[in-house]
Amino acid sequence: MANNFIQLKLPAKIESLREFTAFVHNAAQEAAFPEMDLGRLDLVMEEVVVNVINYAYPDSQPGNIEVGYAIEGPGKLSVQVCDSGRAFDPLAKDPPDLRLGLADRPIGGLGIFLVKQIARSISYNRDGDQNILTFCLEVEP
Amino acid sequence: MVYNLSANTGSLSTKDSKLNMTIESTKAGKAVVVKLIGRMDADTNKEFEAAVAQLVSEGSVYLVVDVTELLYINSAGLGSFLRNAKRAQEKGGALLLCGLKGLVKEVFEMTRLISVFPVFESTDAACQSIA
Repeated sequence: MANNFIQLKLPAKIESLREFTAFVHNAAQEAAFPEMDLGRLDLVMEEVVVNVINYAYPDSQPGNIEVGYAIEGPGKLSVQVCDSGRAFDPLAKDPPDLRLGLADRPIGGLGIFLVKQIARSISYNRDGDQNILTFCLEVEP
Repeated sequence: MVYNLSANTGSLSTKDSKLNMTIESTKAGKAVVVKLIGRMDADTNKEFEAAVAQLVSEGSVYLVVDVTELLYINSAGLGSFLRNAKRAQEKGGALLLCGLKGLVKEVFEMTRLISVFPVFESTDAACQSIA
């Protein structure tokens, strides 16, 4: 986690989701995000954190998630989501086929796609035993 | 979870302050209008699926889902829309959408689900299309 990030560490459980989301949501309010962008941020946070909760740790070895943010300026927020689970790059997944009709559309697979669409930038790093997902949201002028 | 069945309107609603979504369903001719109010997230999407599964099992296969007052949806919620639409289609019906706006409309546009569901401006227009 970058040094200048304000951090919150909680167990990688679904019960932690609302606290993580509120933690970053409050920062975005401080950074003057309008309502629509707050909704976009909630969506990105929920998709990213749920992904870690579902895939990072085996049931037998529960772990933590660390979320940090830095307000880069008015309407600009950087967020990091770190875990010490198995190496997993969510960005490496193939994009969903959006041309399919109802009968052929699979259920699922849209979460990280939405994150990529909304975030101004996003990157994944494996640093030692940590997965680090960093993204930036910026309010459109 | 509390289910309230109103004797006067025939509407079924589910309310839970922790879950932040209300579902109201009302008969409208051949269709049932399902109005979603609040936020559809990893918790509340299950309530939407359960409500629609019940309606379809009771023979209501034309579902007009009014999202005018739905403020938020995530990928789990989109999955529920797809499951519910497939469920209705398998029984010879359809899931129709109306009232798309704001973030919810943006998410349906980003995922191109807006072209998967029949979309209408109002519940009246949606209901008339299946009359």
